[in-house]
Amino acid sequence: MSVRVSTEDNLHRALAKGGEITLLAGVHTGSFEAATDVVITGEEGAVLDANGRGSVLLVQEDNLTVVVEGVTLRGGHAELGAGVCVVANSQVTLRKCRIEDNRPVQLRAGGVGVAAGNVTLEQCELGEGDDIWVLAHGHLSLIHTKLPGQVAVVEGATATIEGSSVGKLRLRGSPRATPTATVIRSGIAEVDNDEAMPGNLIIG
Amino acid sequence: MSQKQRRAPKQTPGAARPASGNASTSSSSTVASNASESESGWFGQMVSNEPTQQGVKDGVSRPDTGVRTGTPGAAIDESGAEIALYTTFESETPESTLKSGTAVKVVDKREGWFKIEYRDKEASTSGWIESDYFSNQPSLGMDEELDSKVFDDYTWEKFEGDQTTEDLAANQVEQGALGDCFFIASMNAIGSANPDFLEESIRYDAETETYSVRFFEGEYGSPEEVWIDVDAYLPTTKDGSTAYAASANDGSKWGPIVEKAYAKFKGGYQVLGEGGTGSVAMAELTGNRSRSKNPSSMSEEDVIPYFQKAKEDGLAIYAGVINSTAMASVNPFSGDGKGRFKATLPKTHDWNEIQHGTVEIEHEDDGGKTAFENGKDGDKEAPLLGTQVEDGTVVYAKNSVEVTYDEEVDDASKLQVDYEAHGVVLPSKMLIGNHAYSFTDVVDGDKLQFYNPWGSYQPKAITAAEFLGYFDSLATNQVPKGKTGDGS
Repeated sequence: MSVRVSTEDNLHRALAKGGEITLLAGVHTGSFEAATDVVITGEEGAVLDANGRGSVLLVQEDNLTVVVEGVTLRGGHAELGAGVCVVANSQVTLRKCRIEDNRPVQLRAGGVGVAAGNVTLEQCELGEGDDIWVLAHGHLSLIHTKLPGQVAVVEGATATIEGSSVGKLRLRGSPRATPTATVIRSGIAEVDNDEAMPGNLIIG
Repeated sequence: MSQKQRRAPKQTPGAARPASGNASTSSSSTVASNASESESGWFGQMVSNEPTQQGVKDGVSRPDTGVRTGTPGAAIDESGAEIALYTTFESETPESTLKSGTAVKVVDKREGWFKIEYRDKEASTSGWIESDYFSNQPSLGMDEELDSKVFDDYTWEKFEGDQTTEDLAANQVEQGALGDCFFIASMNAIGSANPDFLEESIRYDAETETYSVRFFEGEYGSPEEVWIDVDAYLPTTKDGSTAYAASANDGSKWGPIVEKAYAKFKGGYQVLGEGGTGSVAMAELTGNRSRSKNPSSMSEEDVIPYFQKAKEDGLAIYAGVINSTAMASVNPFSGDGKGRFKATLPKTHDWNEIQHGTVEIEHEDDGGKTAFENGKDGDKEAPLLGTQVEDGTVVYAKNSVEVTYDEEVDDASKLQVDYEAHGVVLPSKMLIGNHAYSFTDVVDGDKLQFYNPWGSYQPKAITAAEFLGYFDSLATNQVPKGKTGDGS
């Protein structure tokens, strides 16, 4: 199924059905949840704006394939992943997206939060405060992506950073788990590897 | 002053004298990787053609124990006596003593000896103690003002006897001086749904005076039970009360003990203090996956039935309040010309401060004289920017704004200031922004009662419209019904 949507209500309905969605240019306000396999392609100027209310995009169902391309995601406010929050064993890909002006509760994950599943950001740009947190058993791939803030890989999470620029890479394990970050052809301004619970940093 | 008898110095043959200097809490460096440049070492550090592992060695020999450098804990003498402190591990006599219970961190070690770092007032200092006096404890929270671990403010004190109670009734835990409202609210939500389950999650061993607390971890959706053991020592303030969580009603310390076990489970109190996620914390406490729902996806008529059904189903219900609220536009300046215009923006509550990055000024008549700021959370002040702005500053905690334009201003009272405020976002109902609550019940048939994990400043019951207007997160968790935790 392929639909073009221009309003928030239509987008909610289209997300419930899944398939291919073309998001028309303009600001679409709300917090959206992907509950089935879906590909969202934004026209130039397509914006999803949570307007300070929850995550812009939430994925909490297992075994989904979710692709978002050419969309700006902004205005989120959430405890984990104000921009994009993935807490299920699903595949989520953001391609050529901007993730900006999302605000975390306390210190964590204004931009993207990954507690499970595989999340790939390809050719994306994130705002200064839009950090990424990968925790528990989540996996993150940053490919040709610009992240001026930090990516935190904690607990048993893993991350692959390839061809990207990152302001800060933070690694912190837990007493029973060690995170791993693999860095390939990337520039990272600062690495903060916890002294008491360090992670594995693999330079490839 | 009392102190233990000096034991015979223990030395490792050939061991070097301990290095001086303090260790930092983390290792920071710059890294870049580029396969084509790696042999020469782009930026000269941490670059290799072969995969390498960082963080598995720290350059310090560890001949005798599994305690690694960087490990937080406390210097404790079971009798409460002061602990001998040596300048070097080879010293024959102690140069000073350390109060039992002092929070420390291991920064170096030799057989039978730990060099520990601790804070003495504002200064970080160090010395050697015999390793038997070191007690491995979760690292403490961060002092936001000093940007360092709170070593001198709190000491570790032992609370004797079984601190669990027969009836862990709902809402017995209060948040302390740690930013873990997400965890305390999660605990209270679970206690509200089924206190028996929490009671089953804590075991006390009178013989060893230790507690075991149950959590769940593992692949999301298929967690395994993990029992975390903790002793009876808790961080306390100078007046002897627990520094972090407290039990509200009966003075027992089960809440602080569960919080300590969670800190140990996650890697320290400072990890909890960075914040967390209620949906994850509830899952870690019950083993069941949480479900999130965004209030903005609900209609007003959905709200009360949703909470009634969730309560009937025995769900733990956790909710978070929005960060800030838009304030009415104000015109706080007066006068004209090129003068420096200064004003204090009104507050809707004494606790409220300007939200970072939200101040905008514009002249009502012509839309000119635009000024804005881009302050980030944590900034104390930020400059006002704009093509016509010569100089300007916002000081967040003081709610003050000062601006000077490079052209004259006709009637500064027409300079309109828009901004948001954070703190108490709905004063009439005592709702605090950026804060987590547990749901307790539907009251009067059409209002929602939430519980503030502070244990004080409890909100008044709110309407469905107020819930939709001020809450931005909602998560539920199916608390196992059986007392053994195996029935759901």
